Amino acid sequence: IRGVKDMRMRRKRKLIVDHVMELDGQTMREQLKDFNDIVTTLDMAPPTKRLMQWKEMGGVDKLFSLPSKTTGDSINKIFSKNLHITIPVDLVDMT
Amino acid sequence: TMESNIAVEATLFEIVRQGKMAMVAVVDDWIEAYKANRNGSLLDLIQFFIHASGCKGTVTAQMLREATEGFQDVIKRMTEEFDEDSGDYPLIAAGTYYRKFRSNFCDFVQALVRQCQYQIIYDQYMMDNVLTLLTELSNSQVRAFRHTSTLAAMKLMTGLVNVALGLSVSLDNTQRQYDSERNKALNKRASEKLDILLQKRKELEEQQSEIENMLNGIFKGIFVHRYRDYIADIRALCMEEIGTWMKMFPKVFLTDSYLKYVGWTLHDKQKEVRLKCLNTLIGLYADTEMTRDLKLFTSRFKDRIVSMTLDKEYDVAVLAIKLLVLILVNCGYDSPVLTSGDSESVYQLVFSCHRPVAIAAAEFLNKQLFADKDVNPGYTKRGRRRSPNAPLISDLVMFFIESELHEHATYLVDSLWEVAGPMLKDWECMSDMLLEEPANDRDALDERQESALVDIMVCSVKQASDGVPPSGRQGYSKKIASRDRKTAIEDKVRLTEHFIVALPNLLKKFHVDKEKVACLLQIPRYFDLEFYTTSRLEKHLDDLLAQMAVVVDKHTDSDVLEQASSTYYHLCDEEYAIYSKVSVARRAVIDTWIENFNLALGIFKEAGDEADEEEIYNVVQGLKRLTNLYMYNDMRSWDIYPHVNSILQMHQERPDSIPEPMLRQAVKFIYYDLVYALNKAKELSEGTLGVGGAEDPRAAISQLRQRVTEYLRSCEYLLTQSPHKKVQEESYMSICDLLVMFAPQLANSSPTLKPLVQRASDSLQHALIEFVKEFVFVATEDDDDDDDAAKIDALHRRRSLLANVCKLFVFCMMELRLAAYIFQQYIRFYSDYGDIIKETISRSRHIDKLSCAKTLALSLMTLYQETVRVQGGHLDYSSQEYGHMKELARRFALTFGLDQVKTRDAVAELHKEGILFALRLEDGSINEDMEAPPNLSFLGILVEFSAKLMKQDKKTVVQYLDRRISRGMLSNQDQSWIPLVTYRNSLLQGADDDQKQ
Repeated sequence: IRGVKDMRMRRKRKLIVDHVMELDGQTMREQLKDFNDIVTTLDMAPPTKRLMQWKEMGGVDKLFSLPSKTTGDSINKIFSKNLHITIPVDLVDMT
Repeated sequence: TMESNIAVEATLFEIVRQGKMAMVAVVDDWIEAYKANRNGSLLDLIQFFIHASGCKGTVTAQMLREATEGFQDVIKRMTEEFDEDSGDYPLIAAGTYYRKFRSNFCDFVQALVRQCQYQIIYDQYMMDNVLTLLTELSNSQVRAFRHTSTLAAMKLMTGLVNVALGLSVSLDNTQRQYDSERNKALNKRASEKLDILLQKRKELEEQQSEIENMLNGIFKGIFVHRYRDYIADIRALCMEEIGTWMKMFPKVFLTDSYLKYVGWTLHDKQKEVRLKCLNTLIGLYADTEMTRDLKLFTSRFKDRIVSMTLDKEYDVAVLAIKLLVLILVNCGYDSPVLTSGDSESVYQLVFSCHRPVAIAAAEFLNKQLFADKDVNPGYTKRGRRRSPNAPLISDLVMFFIESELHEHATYLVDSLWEVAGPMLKDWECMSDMLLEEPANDRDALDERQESALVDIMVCSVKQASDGVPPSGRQGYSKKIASRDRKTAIEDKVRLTEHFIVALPNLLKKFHVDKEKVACLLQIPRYFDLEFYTTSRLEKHLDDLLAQMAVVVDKHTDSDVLEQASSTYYHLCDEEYAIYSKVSVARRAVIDTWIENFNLALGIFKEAGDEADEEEIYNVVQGLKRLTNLYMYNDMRSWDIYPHVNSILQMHQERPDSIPEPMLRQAVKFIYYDLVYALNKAKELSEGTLGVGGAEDPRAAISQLRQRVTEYLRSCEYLLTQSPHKKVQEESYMSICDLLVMFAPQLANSSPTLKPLVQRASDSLQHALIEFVKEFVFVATEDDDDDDDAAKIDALHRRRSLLANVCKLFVFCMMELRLAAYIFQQYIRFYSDYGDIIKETISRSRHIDKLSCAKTLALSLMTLYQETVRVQGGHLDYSSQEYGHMKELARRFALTFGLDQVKTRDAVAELHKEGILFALRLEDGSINEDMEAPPNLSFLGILVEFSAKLMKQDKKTVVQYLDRRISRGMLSNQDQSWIPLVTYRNSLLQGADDDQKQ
């Protein structure tokens, strides 16, 4: 008969087989003794007002969209309005 | 036959998977079938567990008959016939097909026990077989069998624990009935009834012992192996289920022989397992009845739980803190469980950057410090009763000061916001504490405590008004619920009503203290300004404005002045009726200070070189006030420019005539003067001011053009010539910001402003880069004496300076090739500026791929030349510098990304530039058998970009290279020619593959 072959021979098995089924005693004892790798230190929010401001304003996005000198919204708007590369034709080659 | 049955009727597994039928009904059907045909139905059940594991094999009645040792043979056959499509099995499979399988499966198993509990489970057939099967499956190396059967067994156990509980209750009842019958007088006793009760008790005891055997079997045969299974999911489900048993039947399971498994597993390396353990414990400690039996466990594992508050997984830390809150509240033991050290380590977490951790810690803090406190708030000196919150707020202030972790209250307030909101929003109480003297001196605040309270109060005003957590907090959803928004609106009304009256008094009391004033001045920005007029409170506005004038008069601190400036701007809003009143007051303050400044400047000029410190001070401080007011308020109409500019002119004539601080203030002041002038010109040109403006736009534009040009020239001079770093920095910032604001782009939106356009000359561009070289890319010594906050602050300043010039590159306001130096620093300064440099590379690439590639090439070539020069004319391949260049090239190559088609021109251009550079000869002639050209070793670096070329382009580049070299060069055995061969081979590699295909 054509086409009859042992299925198991043809197919590469995907069944997951765990040759180690349990954490061994040594592992269990060690994790009881030493858990430094799963604890960390306090990740503190910015401790001063200034550092908090930097955290808010010091990221790439903000740094690339605002002037460096503190000022009001209307001036910030003038600044950010120029942050593009479209230039009137007659000004393009002026250097 | 069996098989045709399956084909026609849906299998048990299929019915459970679909979940269309209630599990009660599914089990009812199965029980009916079981009553009719025990063997057949058991087979269905066995088949169900096999299918549920994802195995497609069929268990036949014959297999069961032939099986000798339990189900070992059947499991072996099923492993062979598993017929899996993938490693997934129903419990872990993603997608909609098995979406609800897990819960259906658990429901089915529990319904099975519940509905069989009066008869079938005692028939010594069904349970025996099922438990044997599950025990053997749970011991299989095949993960699908082991996982599925463990879950089934744990749920089965939960069902049985419930049965055991029922039996125990029945047994108690029966015993009670029996005892009361026995206690009756002999003549009244019904002996028949006694017999029945005895019989019932015997039956129940037998059943109880059978169930106990089953429970023991599952626990010892399955749980004690699987709680430490290699697979975390399996361990996690064991931890979840054991908690259920403990809560359900504490008399038996809430003992240390079971609890220890949970305690040990608290140390598990996997997050989800630790989470389940903590959830289990939270379920137990939430019940004060249970905590009695947890005493020993608590003392054994308390330290571990405390350590978990700093777990590297935030979710785990949050649960650990919640558990400690329960331990704190519900463990009424003779001596407290938590030491003061334990509590302190939780307290500090209110300052965590992770919001859920901070909030959980705040709940703990709240329980320890504020909850259920009944302290008499006492009276004020004037005999008024103080708010019940006063003692609590005092405690909070003490905590804030003593914790010493944060210098500001922003995050402390946010942490406590949910748990102690009403206390934090008791602004009446806070103001009272600050303004009213208490009757008892013990309740009085010292100066530090007052400052802390002002800070807390202002932070809470800000948070109430914003309705959102402060920035810098993470781990929460940014979406604000509409409920919160509604609260924010109500809070705003309350805070406005209160502080309109209280703030002038607070400012009056604390007007000399700059920290308190800087905080308090922010409050009006959160007001609903309508209230001044609608509630007829203008008198208090007068008070506030009077106090603000005093503040500007008394203070020279930049922070205070900046806050005053910003608050004037907010109050002076044409949309509100108070506008004219505020405007008049602001005008008066500005008038005063211009007068003061002009007077001081006159005296200073007159004194000439004889000017004393006080005379200099008066000019500087006067100008400083004006500059700070200018930051937010348009002051052009006073026309102060000529006066301030005269300082710059004097400096030009005789640099040593102007002291550094005065020069710096003048540079800063004129910047604001120019940008507000631009603002005005823009409004005029866009017609936003309406008709009838008195100013002639052309004259204004021409004047502004002249002033900007002159100012930029002065700044360039100061940037390159000033010996004072701060003056250079101020000038640098002015130049960068103005080059953006007056860039050609300005003429895009406002064509009439074209005359104002400014561009950086070559010399200015170079000066900016020189500044960056000197002040941004500086090696910082790791000085332990310096405080960390100051170091981070300095770093951020440098980052801002670098970003200033990078903006000019990416918006074509400066020649990109000048960025080559900055790109060179990508690795050396990766941790400080990596993000900024990377952003500059990618944004400039977005604008012009070829220019960007050329700049990268230039960056490497100049670095190469510099390195060779330093190494005495010959590149040392073993040097760190060479490794660094290779690494830099590799990182540059990575910035091109994966889309080869998109970047092909740019990559080819980079190779072209590199080849021309490497082959260049000093005298322009090529000689093939002599020494290699001086830059040839650059090809060793260029190699890093070969993989970025498309196959067809590799061939083109090889041809390009070959046209410029001769065969002899490739066969030249001299060391110096090796990079050529290496580079050429790197190009051939991909091209060869192509040919082979």
